[in-house]
Amino acid sequence: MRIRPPDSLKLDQDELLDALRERLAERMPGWSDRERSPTDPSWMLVEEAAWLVERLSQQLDDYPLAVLQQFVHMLGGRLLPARPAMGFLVVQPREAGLLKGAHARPGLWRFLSSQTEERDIIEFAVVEPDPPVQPARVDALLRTAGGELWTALAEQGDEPLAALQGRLGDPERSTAFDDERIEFRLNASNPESVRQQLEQAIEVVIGQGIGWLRLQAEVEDDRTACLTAAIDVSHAFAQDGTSGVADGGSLSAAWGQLEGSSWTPPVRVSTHRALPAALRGQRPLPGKSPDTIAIGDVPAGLSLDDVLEVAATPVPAEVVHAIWRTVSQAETSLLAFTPRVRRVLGKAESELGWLGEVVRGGAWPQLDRPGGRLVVHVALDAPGAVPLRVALTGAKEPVVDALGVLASGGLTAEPLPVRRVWSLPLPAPSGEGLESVHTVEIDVGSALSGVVLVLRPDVRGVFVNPILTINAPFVRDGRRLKVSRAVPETVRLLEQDLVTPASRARLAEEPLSASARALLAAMPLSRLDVVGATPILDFEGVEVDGSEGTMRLNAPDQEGAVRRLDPGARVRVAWYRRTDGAAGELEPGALGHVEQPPRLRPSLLAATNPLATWFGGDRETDEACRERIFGPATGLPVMPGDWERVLRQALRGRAREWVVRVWGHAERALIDSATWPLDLAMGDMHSRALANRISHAGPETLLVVIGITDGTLDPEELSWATLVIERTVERLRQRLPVIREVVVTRFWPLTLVTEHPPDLPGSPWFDLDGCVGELRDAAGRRAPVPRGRLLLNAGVVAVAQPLGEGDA
Amino acid sequence: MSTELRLRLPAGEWARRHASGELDDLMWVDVQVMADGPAYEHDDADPPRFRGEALESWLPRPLVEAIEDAQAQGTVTLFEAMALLLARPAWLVQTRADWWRSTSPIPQLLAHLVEAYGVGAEIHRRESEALMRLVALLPPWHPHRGTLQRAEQLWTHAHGTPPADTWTGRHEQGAFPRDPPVQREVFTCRSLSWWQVRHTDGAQPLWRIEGGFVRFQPQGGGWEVRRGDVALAWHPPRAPDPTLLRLLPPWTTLRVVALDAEGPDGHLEDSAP
Repeated sequence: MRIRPPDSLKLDQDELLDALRERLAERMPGWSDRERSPTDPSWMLVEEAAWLVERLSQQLDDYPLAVLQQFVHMLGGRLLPARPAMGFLVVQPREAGLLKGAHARPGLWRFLSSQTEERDIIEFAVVEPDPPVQPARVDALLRTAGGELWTALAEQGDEPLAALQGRLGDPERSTAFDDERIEFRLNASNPESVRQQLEQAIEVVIGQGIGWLRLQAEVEDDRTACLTAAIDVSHAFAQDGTSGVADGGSLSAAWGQLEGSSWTPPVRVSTHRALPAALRGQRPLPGKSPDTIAIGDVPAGLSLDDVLEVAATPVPAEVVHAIWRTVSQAETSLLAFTPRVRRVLGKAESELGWLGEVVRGGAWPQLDRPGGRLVVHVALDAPGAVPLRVALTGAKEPVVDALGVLASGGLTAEPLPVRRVWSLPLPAPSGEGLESVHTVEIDVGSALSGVVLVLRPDVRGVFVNPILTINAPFVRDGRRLKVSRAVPETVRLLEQDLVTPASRARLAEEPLSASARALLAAMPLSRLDVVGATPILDFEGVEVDGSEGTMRLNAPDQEGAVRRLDPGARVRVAWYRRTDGAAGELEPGALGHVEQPPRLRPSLLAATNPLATWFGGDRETDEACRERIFGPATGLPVMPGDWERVLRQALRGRAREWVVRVWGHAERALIDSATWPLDLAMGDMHSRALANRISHAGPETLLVVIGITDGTLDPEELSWATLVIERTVERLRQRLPVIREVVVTRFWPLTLVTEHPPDLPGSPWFDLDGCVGELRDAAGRRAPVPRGRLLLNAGVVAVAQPLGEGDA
Repeated sequence: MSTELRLRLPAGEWARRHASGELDDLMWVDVQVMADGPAYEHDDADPPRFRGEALESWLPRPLVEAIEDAQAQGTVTLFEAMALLLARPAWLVQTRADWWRSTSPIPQLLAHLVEAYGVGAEIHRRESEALMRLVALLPPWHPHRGTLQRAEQLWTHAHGTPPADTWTGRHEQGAFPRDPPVQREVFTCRSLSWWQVRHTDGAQPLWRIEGGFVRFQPQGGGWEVRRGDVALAWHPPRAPDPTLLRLLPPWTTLRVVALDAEGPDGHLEDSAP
C-alpha cells in the first residue's frame, strides 16, 4: 500500500482563534461577543499574531524533510540523471547507402519534431553504427490461412511515409487467383491442325462432365497452338442448360474429375444476400447424378457468377499436369506433344506480378503453411549494395523467410540470408501495452526487384528502413579550456540533463533487449580533445554531473578512474549529448523532420516514427532522492510489504503515486478472496485469464497488483511495469529461489456505496470484512460487496452515500 | 506511568496526552503570569495544565506586574491571548525530538515509518497506541521478520491481544503439530511436487470425511509441516483473520486444520472414519 503523505502540522489560524475565544470565554463569559468589533486594537493584534503563528508553524512540516535533505546532501547523495527516450524511425532515402558515422559524429542526420505550443523541438539521434537504408516500399501485405489468400493491408490514410509501413488490417478474400489461367503451348508445323485436335479433345472433356474447367484452343502464330485452361465454376452450370442467371430452385453443376486426380475446385456457396442464410458459406452437396454438385433454393434471377465462391488459392501443380493428361488422353494424337506450360494470374499480374513468380516458381507451399503466414512484398525501387532492413511488430520471435524476386523474372534459387539486428519494446499502436519491435536485415543484390517476406501469422506490422534512435542529440560545444591547476576544476557545460554513463546505466535498467542494450553501450557519449594527447571519450576519467550540467577535470569518474591533466594542458570540449527526459516520449508520427548537410549521401527525403517513443524519464526529484537514500536497507524481501517496497524502487519515478500491492499464496488461495469484476461474465479476457492464473499459481508465484487510484493505468505503462517487475523478480530469484514466478495485473479503484460508511484505515482498502453496500468502478460496473473478504485486484478508494433509489 | 509527578518529564507528558487527543482545544494552556516563572512545566490538575514558553520573562517588569494585577481582577489580557496562540507550536517544537519515536506526540506520523518497514495499515489500522507500540518494537523485530513467532509477537503488540486463531509452524511444534492436531488437516489441491516433498516414508493417506471436509492425514501425520508452512486451526464457519499473513512471507503455505466450533481439542461430533 502506498504510504499516505503526512498530515500537515501547520496550524490553522482560524482554528486557533476559535479555540482561543472558547478559552477566554471561559474566563469572561460574554466577552467574546464584544470582541467581534473589527476596530478593537487588541483583537487586531491577536489576529495578527495568529497569522504569524500559522506562517511560522509551516516550519513544523518542513523540519523533518529539511533534516533528511541535509543528510542526503552531507552523504553526497546525487540525483539520478534524466533518461533519454528511445524509439525507431522509418526513413525514405533518395538512394541506397549506409548512414555512416551517424551515431558517432555530430552534424550529420538529425531527426526533429515540430515545435508546438506545448512542446519545444525534440531531437533524436541514431543509436546504431552505419544503419543501411534503401528506396523501398511495402507493396503488398497478404495473409494465408486455411490454404487461401487474403489481402490484409490496413488503410494507411494520410499517415506520413505510408508506403514504408504495412500494418495488418481486416482480411478480405484476395481476388489474385480469380483470373488464373494455365497456358499449354504446342509447337507444330501445322498449328491449325493441332488446334482442331485440341477442340476435339475439349469436346470430349466437356462430355466427361468436368464443367468447372474452361478450355480454349487457338492458334498463336504459325508454329504454335495454345490451349488455355481456367477454373470457371459458373461454366459448370452452363452444362445444365442454365445460362447467365438462375431459373430458381435447385441448381446442378457438372463437377467431374480430371484424369488421375481427385481434385475439384474448392468452393463454397457465396454469401450473397439473395441466397438462403442456411446455405451461405456451406460447401455444396453432391448432386443426384454422379460427378455433379447441387445447390438448392437458389432464387431466380441470381447471376450464376454469384452462386459459388472459389477459394483464393492457386491451382495446384499436380492439377496442371492432370489437365494436360486429361486433354491428351481425350484426343490421343496429342500424346505426342510435350507442351510448354505457363501460368498467368490474369488481371492481378500487373499488380501482383511477384505473386505470379511465386506460383510459377513453385514456392506457394512456402507461403501456405499450417497456421497460416503473413506474406509481405517489399518492392526495391533502386536496389543497392546494402541490405534491406525491415522491422516487424507483434511477433514474439522474428522468424522470417525471404524470397528474392528477380528483376528479370523468377525467384532466387535459395532463400535470402536473414539476420537479426535489434529489438526494442515500444507502445503498440493498438493501445494494448508494449510490444517488441524486431529488426532484421536481408542481404539483397542489385538484381532483385523485390523481396517476399514470409512471416509468422502474429506479425502485425512491417516497416521498411527502421533506424534505432534515441533522444540524445549532440551538443557541439567547441569551447577551449586551459587547465591552470592540477586539482579538480569545474567546467559548466552549455546544457543541463546531459547523457552520461550514469544516464546510460539508468536506461540499461529498463526492460530493453540485450541487442538494444549492447548498441547503447557502444554509442559514443562525448568527446573532449586534449592538445597533444589522446582525446577523452565518454567522460572517461572526468567527473560529470549530468543533472547539473557540469564537468570536473582532474576528478575521478564514477568508476574511480582519473584522467590527469597537468597545468597548461589545453582541452577542447568538442561535443557531448543532452536529453529532454520524459518530454522525449513522443506520439507516433511526431518526428517528421530531417536535417542534413546538402551533400551528405544517402540523402533522406523524409522520416517518421511509426510507434511512440518510450523509456524517457526526467531527472530524479529531491523527494525521490530522499526516499531512495533513506529507504530501509532490508536486504532480501521477506514479507509482502518488503516486496512492495522493492518493486516500487524498481519501478522508480514513473510509479511514484501508483498502488503496488503484493499478495502471497496463502492470502489469495486459502482466504476468502475475490477478483474484480466479481462476475467474470462482466469482465474482459484479461480478467478471466487472471482468475485462471491465480487458481493455478502455487506458493512460488507472487501476485502483484499495480495501478492508480483515480483511473486505470495506461496499457503501455502496465506493460512496461510488468516487464520491470518480471525482471526484478528474475534477478531476486538468484538469491531467493523460493519465488520463481510473478503474475502482474491491473488495479481497479472502487467506490463503496453504502448507507453505513465504514472507517477504513487506509486507501486503497482491500479487506471488505464488515462492509455492506455496493462496489462500483470507473467503467460503471457494479456489484454487491462480496462474501469473500479480500479483494485482490481492486480496492476501495472512496466511500459514498447512495443518492437515490437506484443507488440503494 | 509513574503517578509520582516528579518522575515524569513535562514534554513526555504533553506528548502522551497530545497523542491521545486530550489536548485538541486550548484548555490545557496555563496562562497564569508568573514573573521569573519556569518554562515548560506541568501541573497534574484536572484538567491538566501545561505552561509553555515563559513569555513574561521577555517583558518589562512593570508590564508583567500590570498583567498580574489584571489577572487578579479577572480581566482578560492580550498577553493571555498571545500565550494561548503560541502554546501549541511551542510545545510541538519542544517535543520534536520525539516525533519519530514511540513517544511521539503525533503518532499518525509514525504510520509512515511503520509502513516503510512493511507493516501495513491492516496491522496498525492508524490507531495511535498501536503505532506507538509498533515503533517501539520495530528495531528488535525487523531483523527477524517473516517468522511466525515474531509475526505473532508484532501482531499482539499492535492489537494488544494475541491473534484469535491458533497458528503453528515447524519451529514451534515440529513436523507434526499436536495443537492444532495435524491429522485433522483438510485436503486441499496442491501441486504434485508439493505433496512429494512433504511425504514421509511409508505414509499412506487415510481418506475420510469429517465435519464436511475431506481429510487425509493418518494418525500421527504422514505429510509433514515444513519450514515455510503454517498450520492454522480453523473453527468454521468463523472466517480466520488474514491480517497475520501480511507479516509472513508470500510463499507461506497455509495448512488448514479444521476443528469444530466448540474448542481447540478437535473433537468432532459428526466424525465419520
